[in-house]
Amino acid sequence: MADVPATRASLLVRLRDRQDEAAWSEFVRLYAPVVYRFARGRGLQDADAADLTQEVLRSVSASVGAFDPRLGLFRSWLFTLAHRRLYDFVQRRQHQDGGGTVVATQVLDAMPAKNDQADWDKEYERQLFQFAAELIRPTFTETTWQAFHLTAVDGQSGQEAAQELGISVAAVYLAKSRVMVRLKAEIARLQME
Amino acid sequence: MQCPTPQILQHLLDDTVLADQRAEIETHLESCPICQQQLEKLAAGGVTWDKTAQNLGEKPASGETALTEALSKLNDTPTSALLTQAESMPRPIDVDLSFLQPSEKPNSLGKC
Repeated sequence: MADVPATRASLLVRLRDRQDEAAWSEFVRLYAPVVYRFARGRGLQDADAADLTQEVLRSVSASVGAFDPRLGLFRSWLFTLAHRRLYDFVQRRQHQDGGGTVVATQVLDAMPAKNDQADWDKEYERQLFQFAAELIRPTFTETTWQAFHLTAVDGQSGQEAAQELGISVAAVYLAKSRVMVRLKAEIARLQME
Repeated sequence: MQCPTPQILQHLLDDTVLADQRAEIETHLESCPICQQQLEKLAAGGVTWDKTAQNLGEKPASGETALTEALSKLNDTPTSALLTQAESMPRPIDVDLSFLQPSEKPNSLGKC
């Protein structure tokens, strides 16, 4: 996916500061679901995927200083890290189980066949939109947000949404467009290079 | 009323339109599909609207209990504690990962 947004450098710079709690919180809230869902998509169960997610994020905290943006995108660097951790995690489980559970074997067998990078990029983009929406939603009234969601996400017409919400069609279009402007700006803020 | 110019619609979007123009423009916008579309276009291009529908329309799979708990735990952990844990945990591979790049081959984990 060539048009998947890149991770903003400023966040990466801030992550090198171990005291920057806000940067780490934002990083975790943005990336943990991506890692977790990637792991679930590779066959890990809920608790195992969460364990792996914590392992990956801790690895990032230890090695983010080594990431060089000149060598590629942070998202791709994290993908490689998550992929390797997933492989190690499953192999470790297989070893602990004395030869391997059926699930572990299935995960290892499935790994080379999956289109991992494309799945990762898709999950990242989805999380980027959802995280940005989560951040901006409290700044709008519930009616404004619903006008946006009903029309832009659920596919209702302006007239249908207006009727459901008891507002004018013009108000629906204005609400929808104003939320979109903010959503775009928030996504840009999260991904700024 | 004739269709307002894109600049005037932009002012409406920015909430900077003159007060005496607002009512007239909104009355026009109520029933003019061209201006409704123009307003959407000013807010975002077609690709962005499509991606928004796609990415916000998909609900996360059910059963993400452990993710929610892990997020809560990580959010509650001060960075210093997190880093201490990271530094003391076993490292199956070298932590200097700067040489890694995504693999171009489907059956490889990465390249260096």
